[in-house]
Amino acid sequence: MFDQLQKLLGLVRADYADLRYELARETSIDFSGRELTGLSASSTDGYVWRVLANGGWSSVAFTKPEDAERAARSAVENAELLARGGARPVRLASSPPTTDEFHPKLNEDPRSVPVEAKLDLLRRYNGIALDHPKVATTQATYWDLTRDKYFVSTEGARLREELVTARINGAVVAKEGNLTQRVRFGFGGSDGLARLRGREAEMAERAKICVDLLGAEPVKGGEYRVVLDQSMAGVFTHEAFGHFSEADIIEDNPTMREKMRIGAKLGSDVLSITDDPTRPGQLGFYRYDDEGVAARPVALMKDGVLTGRLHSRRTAAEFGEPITGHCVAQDYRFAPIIRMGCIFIEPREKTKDELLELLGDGLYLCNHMGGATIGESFTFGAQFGFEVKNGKPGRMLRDINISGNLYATMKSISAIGNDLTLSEIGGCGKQQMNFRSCNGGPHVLVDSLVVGGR
Amino acid sequence: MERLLEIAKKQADAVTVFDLSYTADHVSFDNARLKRADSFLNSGAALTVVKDGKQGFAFTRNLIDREGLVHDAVAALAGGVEAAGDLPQPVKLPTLDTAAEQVGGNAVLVDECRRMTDYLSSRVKGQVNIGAGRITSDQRVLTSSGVDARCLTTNYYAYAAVLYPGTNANIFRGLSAKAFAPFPEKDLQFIADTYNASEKEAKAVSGRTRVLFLPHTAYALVWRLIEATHARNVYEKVSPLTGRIGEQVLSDKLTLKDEPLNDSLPGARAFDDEGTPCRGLMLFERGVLKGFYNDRFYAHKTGTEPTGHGWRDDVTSRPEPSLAHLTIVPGEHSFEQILKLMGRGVVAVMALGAHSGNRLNGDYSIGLAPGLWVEDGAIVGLVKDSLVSGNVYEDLKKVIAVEDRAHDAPMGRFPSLLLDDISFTTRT
Repeated sequence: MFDQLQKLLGLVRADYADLRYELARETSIDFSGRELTGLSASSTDGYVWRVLANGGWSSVAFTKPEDAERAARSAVENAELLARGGARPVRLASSPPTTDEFHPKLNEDPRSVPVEAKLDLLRRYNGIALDHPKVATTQATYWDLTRDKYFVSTEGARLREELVTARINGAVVAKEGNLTQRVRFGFGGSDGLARLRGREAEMAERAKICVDLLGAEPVKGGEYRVVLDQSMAGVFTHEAFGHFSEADIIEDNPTMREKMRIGAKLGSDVLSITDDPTRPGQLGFYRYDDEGVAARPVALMKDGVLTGRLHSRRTAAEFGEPITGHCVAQDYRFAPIIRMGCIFIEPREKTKDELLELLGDGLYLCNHMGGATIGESFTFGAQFGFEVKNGKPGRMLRDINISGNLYATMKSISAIGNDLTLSEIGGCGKQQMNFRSCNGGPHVLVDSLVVGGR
Repeated sequence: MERLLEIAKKQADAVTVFDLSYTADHVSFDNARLKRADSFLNSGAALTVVKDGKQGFAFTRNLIDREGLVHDAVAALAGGVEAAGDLPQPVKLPTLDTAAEQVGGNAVLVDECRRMTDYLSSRVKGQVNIGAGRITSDQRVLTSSGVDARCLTTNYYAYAAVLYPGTNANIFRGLSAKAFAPFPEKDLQFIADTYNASEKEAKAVSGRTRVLFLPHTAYALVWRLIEATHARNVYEKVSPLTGRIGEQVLSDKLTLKDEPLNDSLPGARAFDDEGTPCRGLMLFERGVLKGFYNDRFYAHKTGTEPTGHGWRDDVTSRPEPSLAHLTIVPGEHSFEQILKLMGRGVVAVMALGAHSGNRLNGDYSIGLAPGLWVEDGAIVGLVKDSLVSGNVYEDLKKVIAVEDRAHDAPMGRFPSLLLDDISFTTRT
C-alpha cells in the first residue's frame, strides 16, 4: 500500500503534500425495544489529500483511486486561490518525518468475535432494561470500527496505525401516564471488546434511574452552588475549556486569543487540566495524529494558570508554540482538524462526601446529556440531579440544563475531588464527529452556575 | 449498479441498491480574511437484501468489489432482522426542477464572500465571518421490484455572521438555493442593524417573559415535535401524541408541513431513499395534529401507507423515518412588527444545548448565545449567561405572532416565533 500511495504523491506539484488512506471495517447492531432493527458488517475506504502551494493550504477528500489526479489538481488550485486571494500564508511547524507501524494491544479483538456473540451481548443488556415494568422502550446499539490508516508525505513520513473502537450505547425510555423520561447509557473504549462484558449492574442502574425520574421534580431555575459529578466535570472541561485550548478555534478571534494568553491566570488555584492521548487504556488513545505527528501529553492549565495549547503543525507555526500531535480526522472522509484526545481535570484530595459537606445547600448534578459552547458561553445538560441540604442529597430533580461563562466558572471552582473517571463514549461534533474524544474529571464544587428551569 | 443488482438478486428474494455520489466545495473568510478553500469528491453504495423474511444490509464507499458487498449483505441475514414491508412498485414520478448549472470555480465563491465581508466590515465593529459553498449530488435507487429512480441535485449555500467580542456568539443569516445567488442585502442589513443595536450588555430580569425565537432557535422547539411525530415513537407508544390525530395540540397560528415536491426550494425530491414516491405531508394544521411520518418498515408496523420519508444520513446508514423538507408556514407580521408586539422580553438568537433535555417529553432548556433584551419594542442590548426553558406542548399554545418570512435554519425553513409567558433565567 505504501508504494501505491508514494506513487500518487508524485502527482502533486506543490511545496508540501500528504496523503492519508484509510481502510475501515464496521459492525453495527440495533435494537428498538425488543425488535432487532438492524445488523450489518461493512468494509469501506477513502483518501484525503492536503497540499501547501505558495503559502495556500487546502485539502480534498476523495473515494476512488482513479480520482486521485483530479483531486490533487483541485487541492493545488484551491491552495493557489487562497494564496492569490489574500489568505495569511501558511507555514508548517517542523516535525520529524517518521516511519512506523503501530497496532494497539487489545483485550479481545472485536474482529475475532463472531457477530452472533455481539448480538447476544447486546440483546442481554437490552433485556435487562426492558425487564423493568415501567420501561416502555429502549434504543440499543452495538458498534465497532477498525480503521487501518496509512499516511505518507513529501517530507518522507510513512506511518501506519490501527485504531479499534467498540461500544454499546443507547437510551432507556420510561413512561407513566403523560410523562416520559429518557436516560442514556453507554460503555466502550479503544482497548478491546472485553471492556463491554460484565456491565449488567450498570444497565440495571440506568433503567432504575430512568424509572426514578418519573417521580422526580423539574428543577427550579436560578443561580446555585453545585457539585458536578465526574461526567459533568468532564463535559465542562471538554466543552467550556477544552475547545478554547484548540488553537484553530481561537486563532482568528483576536479577543479570545488575547484572553487565552499562555501565562494568564484563568482558573482558581485548585484547577489543573491536562490532555493526554497517550494515556493507556482510555477511549481517545492514539500514537500518531493524522498529520504524522507523535501525540504527547499537554498540561493545559496548572493551578489556574494557562500553560499549554493543542496544535496542528499549521497552528503551532502560527502561534510559535510546540507541536502537540492533536490534528485528527473523523475518518477517510475528512481532512484532520485540531481535536482533544483525552482531556481531564487533575484530581486533588477531597472525597465526594467532603465536597457535598462543603456545598452545604445547593444541587448535586449527575450524568451529562451533552453540551455546547460558543466562545466564552457554555450550556450543557444533566440527566438528573439532587437537591442538597446540609450536605445531604435529598429529592431527585430532572430537566436540568446549566449555562455559564467559562472564565467566571473556572474561577468559581473552589474544591476538587480525588475520584477521576474518564468517559467511555465520545461524540464531539466540532465540524466532524470524533467518536474517540475522551474526557473526564473527579467531582468538583462550583460556587455559582445558572440553572434553567420552569 | 445494474450489475450489483443482478449479482444480489441471485442470492436474495428482494434487493434494494442505493447509489450516491457527490462533489462539494467550501470557502470561508474568518475575521474578514480568506481562510479556507476545500473540496470533496465522494461516492458510495448501500445494498439491502431480503431472504425468507429477513433483511441484510451492507455498504461501501468504493464499489470495486461487488461480490464482496453482496457477501457482506447476505452474511448480515444471519442476524435475523425482520424485513417488514414490501419493496415499492415502479410508478411515474413527477419531474422536478432540482438542478441548475454551477457557473465558475471556487473563485466565484471567494468573490461573493469578499463582497459580503466588505459590506459588513464597513457597517459593524464586530468580527465578520463569511462562508459559501456548493454541493452537486447524484442519487439513484434501484430495486428488484423494478424501481429505477434517479435525481441530480445542486445546492448553493452562503452564510454571514458577526461575532460579539470574546465569544463566537453571533448574529447570523443563511441562504440556500439551487445555484449561485447573491446574498440578499436586506439580510446583511438585518445582521448589521441587529448587531449594532445590541453591542452593549443589557440588564435583564429573570422570570416569565415574552420570548422571540429566531429561526436558529425555533428548531429547538420543532425538534421535540419531530420526535413526537416519528412513526417509531408512535408505534412504541412513547410519543405524547400517540392516538391524538385531530386534536388541537398547538396554537392555531402554527402550521407545520413537509414539502418534498416543492422544487422552488433546493433539495426537492420525487422519491425517498427507499424508492417510495414522496408526497406533501401535513403534520399540524392550525395547531391540529394531522399526521405522522414513516418509512416502509414503520408503515408496515403501524398498518399505514408509506409516507415517503425513508431517508439515509449517508450510504453508511439504513433508511429511517426523517423529515427532510420541513417548514413552518409564515404568518402575517414582519420582524419589526413582532418586536413592537413583544414590547418587553428576550430574543433567542442562537441556541446552545438544543439537543439536551427530555426531547420526547417535549421539555427544552436552551442557553442563549446570545439573547437580546427588548424594551418598548426595541432591542436595547445583549444578555449573557441565560436560558429559556419549558415544554413545547404548553409553550407552543402561547404563540402571539409568526413572522411573515421563513428562513433556512437547522432542520427546516422556519419563521421567527413570538411566544408569551416563557421561563427565562439569567445571572443576577
